Amino acid sequence: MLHPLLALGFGTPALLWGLGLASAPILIHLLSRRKYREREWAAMKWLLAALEKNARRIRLEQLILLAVRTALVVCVALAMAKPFVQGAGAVLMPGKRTHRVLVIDGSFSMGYRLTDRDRFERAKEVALAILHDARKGDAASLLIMAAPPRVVVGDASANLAAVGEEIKGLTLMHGGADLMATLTRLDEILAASTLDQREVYFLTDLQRTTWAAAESSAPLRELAVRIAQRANLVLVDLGQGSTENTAVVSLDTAAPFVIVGRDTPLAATIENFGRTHRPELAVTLLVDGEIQDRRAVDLPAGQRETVTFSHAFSSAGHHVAEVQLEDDALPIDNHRWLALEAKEQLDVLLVDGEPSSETFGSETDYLRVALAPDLEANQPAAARSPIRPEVVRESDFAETDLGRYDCVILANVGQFTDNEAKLLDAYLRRGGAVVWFLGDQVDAPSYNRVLFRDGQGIFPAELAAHVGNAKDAQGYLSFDPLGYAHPIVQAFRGAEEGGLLTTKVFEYVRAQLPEGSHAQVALAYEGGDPAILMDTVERGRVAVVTTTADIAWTNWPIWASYVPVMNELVMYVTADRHRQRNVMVGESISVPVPPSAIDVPVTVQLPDGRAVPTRVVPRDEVSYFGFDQTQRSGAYHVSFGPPLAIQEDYAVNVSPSESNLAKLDQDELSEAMPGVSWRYLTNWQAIATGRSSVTQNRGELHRALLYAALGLVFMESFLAWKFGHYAV
Amino acid sequence: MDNFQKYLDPATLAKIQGLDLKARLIVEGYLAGLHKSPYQGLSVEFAEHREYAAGDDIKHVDWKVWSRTDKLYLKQYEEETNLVTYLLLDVSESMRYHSNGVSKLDYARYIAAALAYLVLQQQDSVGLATFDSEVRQYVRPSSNASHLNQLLHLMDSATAAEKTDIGAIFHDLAERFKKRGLVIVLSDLFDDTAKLLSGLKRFRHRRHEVVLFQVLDPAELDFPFQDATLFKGLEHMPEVLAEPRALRAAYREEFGRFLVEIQRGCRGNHFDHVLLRTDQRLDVGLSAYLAARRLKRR
Repeated sequence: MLHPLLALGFGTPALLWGLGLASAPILIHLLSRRKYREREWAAMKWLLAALEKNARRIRLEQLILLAVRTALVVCVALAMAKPFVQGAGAVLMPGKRTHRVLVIDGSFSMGYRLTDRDRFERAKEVALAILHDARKGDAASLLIMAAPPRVVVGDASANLAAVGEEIKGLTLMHGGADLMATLTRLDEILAASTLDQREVYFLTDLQRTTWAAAESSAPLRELAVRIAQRANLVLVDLGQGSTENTAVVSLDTAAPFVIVGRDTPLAATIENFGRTHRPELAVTLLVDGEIQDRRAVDLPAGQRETVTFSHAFSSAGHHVAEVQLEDDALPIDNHRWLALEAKEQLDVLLVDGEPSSETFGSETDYLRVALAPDLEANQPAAARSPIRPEVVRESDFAETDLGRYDCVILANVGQFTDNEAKLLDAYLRRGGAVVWFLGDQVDAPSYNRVLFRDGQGIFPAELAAHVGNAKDAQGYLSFDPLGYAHPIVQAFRGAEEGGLLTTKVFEYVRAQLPEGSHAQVALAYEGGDPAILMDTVERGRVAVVTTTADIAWTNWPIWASYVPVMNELVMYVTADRHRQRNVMVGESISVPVPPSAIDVPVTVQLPDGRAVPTRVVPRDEVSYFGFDQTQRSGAYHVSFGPPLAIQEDYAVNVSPSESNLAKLDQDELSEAMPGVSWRYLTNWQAIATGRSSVTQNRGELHRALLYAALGLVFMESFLAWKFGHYAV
Repeated sequence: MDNFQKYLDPATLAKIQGLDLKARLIVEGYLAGLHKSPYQGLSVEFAEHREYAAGDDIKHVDWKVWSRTDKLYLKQYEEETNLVTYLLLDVSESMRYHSNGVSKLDYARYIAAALAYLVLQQQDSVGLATFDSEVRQYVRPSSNASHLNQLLHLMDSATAAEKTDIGAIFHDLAERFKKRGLVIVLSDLFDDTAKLLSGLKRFRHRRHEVVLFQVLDPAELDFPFQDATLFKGLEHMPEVLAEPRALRAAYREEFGRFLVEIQRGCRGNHFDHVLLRTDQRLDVGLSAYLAARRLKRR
């Protein structure tokens, strides 16, 4: 930045009319010459002599006094107009070097626009004006208040021009702001500062969502007090004006998975955060960028409304649904995206631990029919179960590519090698689903050693002794639905004739949950032992059924409740996979990929169209595609290069809490952070245009002029006394 | 006693009608104050009292003292001489000036009248001349008591009008004063200093004692004016518009130089110079006269 050495400006140029008063002393002097007394005088000879000898001196003294009086009026009049000198503050007012730390609110509420520019652009202008006002020798740092905060310039930089360029290059991201984290980083910057004086400028809309955090956090308040001790705090409140805003606060589907050709419900929640009723608010559904539906919503002030669209995806693969609101002053939250993967069917691998050539002799025969009862029937596709089971023998399991399946069911598999356990582990971490059925072949110690691993493995419980004896069939146990709390048995609530309670179980393996386990018991036996256990392994879900999948230990496979519970079980463990593909701004997209994807070139196309090359990060046994540059909301399109050649879509959305534009006022800020002294400013327009200064000690002249005027008052009195113009 | 002393204040005296009464009040006030006055030592030649003793002449009894104390005291007088006192009263226009109600001419008149009264009381002769640019009136010295009225009338009738020209007049008067005596000049001495001293020297040559009563208005000494003023000169001097505050120091310096010149000239020629301010008590003038008379008699 180049500035003229001395550029004079005025804070209140309208008051320059006061300079006209500078003529007052001259007028008074001239008028006084026309007003005099008359008196006779005898000692005229000596008066004339005195006059003759002193005429020049008296005239000079009068001129000096007149000049001093005129200068006095000029000083006062100029001071009222608040003049300042750009670029020469350090020359005119040498002082301590100041470390100026600019903290710009980067939360997306700063995207609110009232005129041609949004608040973030205004914050940038104010920041540039502050740098412009800085004196030579000052240094600056730049911190973006976001979640997480971003330190653009950490160490005090004396190159203010470079800091200015950084400010100019800033763009508003779509995240929120973490006040605690921001103040922590700020505290670090100030602690490392070596300059004599420090000033922190917060350029923010003072949104309640961000700043009210101080009200409930004692550590945050203590941190703020410590920062206030290290530096002078200036807060420029850019959040003045309207707080009207409408936003799409959520978009989701109630379907556990999306099947091609079947109607998928898409529910969007719209909220009016303002105080004005919004009638006929247009809400539009787009899928893959194309408009599918449009509704008009009547949205009273402060209310929210859910609009449910229905859409049948026509092709398998990744899709992005988007709900749009008509534009308002804060456009960022008028869009919400949902990334989904539509499947032709749900592929389930059944690993048979006890194959047989007899009809319903194999371990998985009942299960296969239960999951796809229509396989033999020739029904239309839309009416058929989406589940497509595929059976393999236990011996073929290790050779099977598990990545192809949405769910793997292991029925009465005797034991697992370490390698098989690792395959299952990797499959689960990538988001897979594994269901174990137990049976007479299950080697409990082997399960415990290889799969349970004292609670560190993928198996949710330690297997203990068998309960009951199926061979004797002397007695049986019934299920306890535990109040039908779990989703997979909820359908039987109030439908006791459905057969769940009359199911007989002759034998099962007692499963003992380790201490601190988060596993859920979906269904139990009389007496409390778990019948069906549910747990998660990273992104994957596991389930254990402690009895057999066939009729060896129970009559359940031939009972009416078997089919619905098995279908619900599979859907439950495979549901909501799309959630991995939908994250909030600032969260990283981290998706496990097949091991073969290592060193595969990956390109991420951002919502603004830019393409960012990235890579797959190997971690433990699983490779991950990770991407953390999710600072903008929208659809992220990821292309894996060969040999994978996969295209995937992800959605990044804003936090709805930022859409509420309610803000703190000055008093509330003081209450939220007691003991912190702020210089609270709202005149950002004057600051940005240079008509007012945030930096208290730039080349402002009014104080110096007032001191000069005071000096001139004393000088005038002294000179008038010295020149004998006042009575002694 | 105190009642008489108040008449020594020129402002008080100005309210009294009749110059003869004024003269008497001044002298009485002055004499009444002698008992406690620091000037007592200067006038001991006549104002002593002693207790009456059998055989003393009762015409010297001070009846006023008797009336107050019921004791007989005699006024003691030193040997009488025939001292001639010439009073020269400046009646030029500049003497008309006043800033406090009593003009320099009035003040000079009071002094002159009191002196005349005092001189005649002491059986001495006193004469009077009034002058401005020339001698206006002249009354030869006489010790006759009725002479006082003539002198006072002359003083009363004098009006200030013309320009002063002291130097030339004193040459003239020196010729007229045949008998050696005490010449008392009552004037502001606003004239050329050299000419003035030259004129006074003529008296000295004729072996007169010279006492100069320089009567000045306090404003002429202090120049106390504040506001811009158009000063209109007396005695044909021009008028001038001036800022008094700016000029005060310079004027005082010029005027001070004039006074020093006068004082130095007087000292060099053995003239007594007494500076009288018109706001000053009138007994200062009488004390100075008596001191001069005493020296003369020695």
